[in-house]
Amino acid sequence: MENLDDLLAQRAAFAAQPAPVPDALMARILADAARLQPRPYAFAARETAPAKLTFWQAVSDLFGGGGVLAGLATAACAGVYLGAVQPSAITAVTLALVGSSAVDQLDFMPSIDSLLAEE
Amino acid sequence: MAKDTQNFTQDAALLTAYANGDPDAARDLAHRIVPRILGYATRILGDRAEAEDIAQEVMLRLWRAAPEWRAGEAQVTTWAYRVAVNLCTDRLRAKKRRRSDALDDVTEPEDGSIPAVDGMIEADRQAALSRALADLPDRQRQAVVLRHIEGLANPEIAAILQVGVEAVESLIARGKRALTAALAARRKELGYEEA
Repeated sequence: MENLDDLLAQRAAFAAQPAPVPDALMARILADAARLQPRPYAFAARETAPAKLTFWQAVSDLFGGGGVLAGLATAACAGVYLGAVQPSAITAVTLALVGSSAVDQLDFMPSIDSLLAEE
Repeated sequence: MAKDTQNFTQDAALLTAYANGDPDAARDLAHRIVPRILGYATRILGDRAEAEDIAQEVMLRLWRAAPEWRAGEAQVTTWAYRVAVNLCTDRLRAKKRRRSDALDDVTEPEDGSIPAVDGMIEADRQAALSRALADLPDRQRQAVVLRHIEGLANPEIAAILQVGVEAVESLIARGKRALTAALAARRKELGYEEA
């Protein structure tokens, strides 16, 4: 058993000074490492300064995009048109609903005086 | 022990740095691990070219495992040895199958790990040790090499071989008895005095 221990100790001393790793093997291992290495989170797209916006692009962005802005403009134009022209079809609807075409005289927030007077 | 702990921590830190995209971490980690795995695989397989394949495969699996690595759950070197042990076992089994299929005689292992010793007697003794190691059952050979040549502690060997410490002690004891018997049969030839 002593002979065996001596031989194993001699082998262990040899193993403690390992032969250098061949360059070709190390190159293959490092090539694998480079291929499989996870990429860090990249903020490359944000690193460049944002392009300067024109006035209308800025207004469009403010309202949430060109489509929203176009819809809003159309609704505003329609409101101005209906208010200025007051087409008969609209007047008929107004009469049916509120009993008067003089919309500007309507009291949308009546006081409670009339209710109190009835008591 | 403190040095071992420091090494384990450094290995884990390098692996984490690699997973986080540090381009130098892979080189540093490879230089720490590859020589040990290459030496171990050479001693077990007795074939330098096959050992290089094993070392590359172990590192390939380590790179793949890096993003999911949980520091503290396993030591990097223990993990690498475990993968190397399994890959070497597969290679040895495949070799045995090929030999038995071809009905070839068992050839002597070409051991690239025999130290260059002074004198023919010492060289003969080391060659006899290699031959005796090659004739051991795989698990016994792995346990003896990890303990007496790689210099690992029994608990670490137990983690590598995925068995209990008692089983490791038993494998080493049986392996050494078989080695002693093999060398005793050639005692005179190897220049040992008769007991």
